[in-house]
Amino acid sequence: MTLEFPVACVIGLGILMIISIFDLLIRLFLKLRGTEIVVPHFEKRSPWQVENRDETSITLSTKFLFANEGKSSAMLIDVIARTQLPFEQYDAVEVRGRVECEKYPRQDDYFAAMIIEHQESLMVKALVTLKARKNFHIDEALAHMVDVPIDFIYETAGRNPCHYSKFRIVLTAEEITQVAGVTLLKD
Amino acid sequence: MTTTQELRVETIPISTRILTQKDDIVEMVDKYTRGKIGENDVICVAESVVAITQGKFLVADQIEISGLAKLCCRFIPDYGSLATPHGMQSLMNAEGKYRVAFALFAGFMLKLVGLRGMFYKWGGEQAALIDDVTGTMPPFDKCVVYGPAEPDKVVANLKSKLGCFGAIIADVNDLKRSRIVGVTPGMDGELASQLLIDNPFGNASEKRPICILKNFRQYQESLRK
Repeated sequence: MTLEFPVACVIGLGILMIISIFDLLIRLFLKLRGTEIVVPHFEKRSPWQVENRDETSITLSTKFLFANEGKSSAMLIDVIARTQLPFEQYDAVEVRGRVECEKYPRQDDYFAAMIIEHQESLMVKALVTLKARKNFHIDEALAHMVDVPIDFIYETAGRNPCHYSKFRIVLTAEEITQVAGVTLLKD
Repeated sequence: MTTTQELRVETIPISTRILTQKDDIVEMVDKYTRGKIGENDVICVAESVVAITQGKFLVADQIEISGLAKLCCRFIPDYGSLATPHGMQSLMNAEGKYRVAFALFAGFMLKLVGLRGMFYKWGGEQAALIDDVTGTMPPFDKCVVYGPAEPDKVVANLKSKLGCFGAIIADVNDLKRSRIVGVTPGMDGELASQLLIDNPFGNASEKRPICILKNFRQYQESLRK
């Protein structure tokens, strides 16, 4: 049996229409279901404060939120604070950063993956340790301090595959010395 | 430690170091329970720890994700372990992508007419066993952990090595859900499952992947009388 050309056209168009409607319904369903949208709100951070200090080092900390502004749960898999102070620029201080979940503090620089439900947020604490070098007292080393850029690199997943994102902040010399109670000397 | 006085069943959680793929689960359980377990007792081991010692896990960000996995995961509610592309891809790698896609499509259609749970029935045994990222203790919190392979063989080996009444592999969480993945013949797995409902394994940081149900044999027999 062979179909007449107009009949075949109608059947073909019908199949195409069904596929299109099915595709449209799936797209609508996925749009309504939404995805995760993880946004770090460093601009709403708490003021830097001294977490720890001794003669040769000082640790500053601040807290900020990772908010899931999407419609679906998110996973915050890792957060890394990468400090960017090369010795070529200033070699009297060595700087290291780390991030921990505020609720579950750790000493091992390991960030345990956490779930952030949709429209909820997770408070993290960033810690920056400045260690004096060349036998300086930390106050002496900080007196000539320079700005320290910090890259926060974070890995998230959810409806989207695992991926890294990054934002940069600058911990200024003025902020550091003010929190540490040291006078910043102009070189 | 919890005790049901009238039935003399004691649940004894056992702390261990973090077990990894370099460990043999039977040897480790033997090491940590030596002198603590007797012939009337049952040994319970957490499902994810058995799987980890078998190397049945994947680092989430090293999984190659297909477009089909990205699409299929969107049809799972977001609290499920298969709701992420890497969770879904892990299942597809284990059970076959077309089987999983078909089970999902058919399960979704049947759900619309009120028939639930068909995806987990047709999607392969790993569909209900996979733990997504955050589902397991560090350092495996960044991994997708499969269900254990040959659970019945593992429990048989445990029973034989320890000389105890029985052995089970259980999937227990803090949401009062307890499921038996493997159980030795002759013991009532469902009964043991009920005793584990309060999650003696604890949370991830408590590192208690093993527990002993003391005098379970008498407990089981007393209920049968």
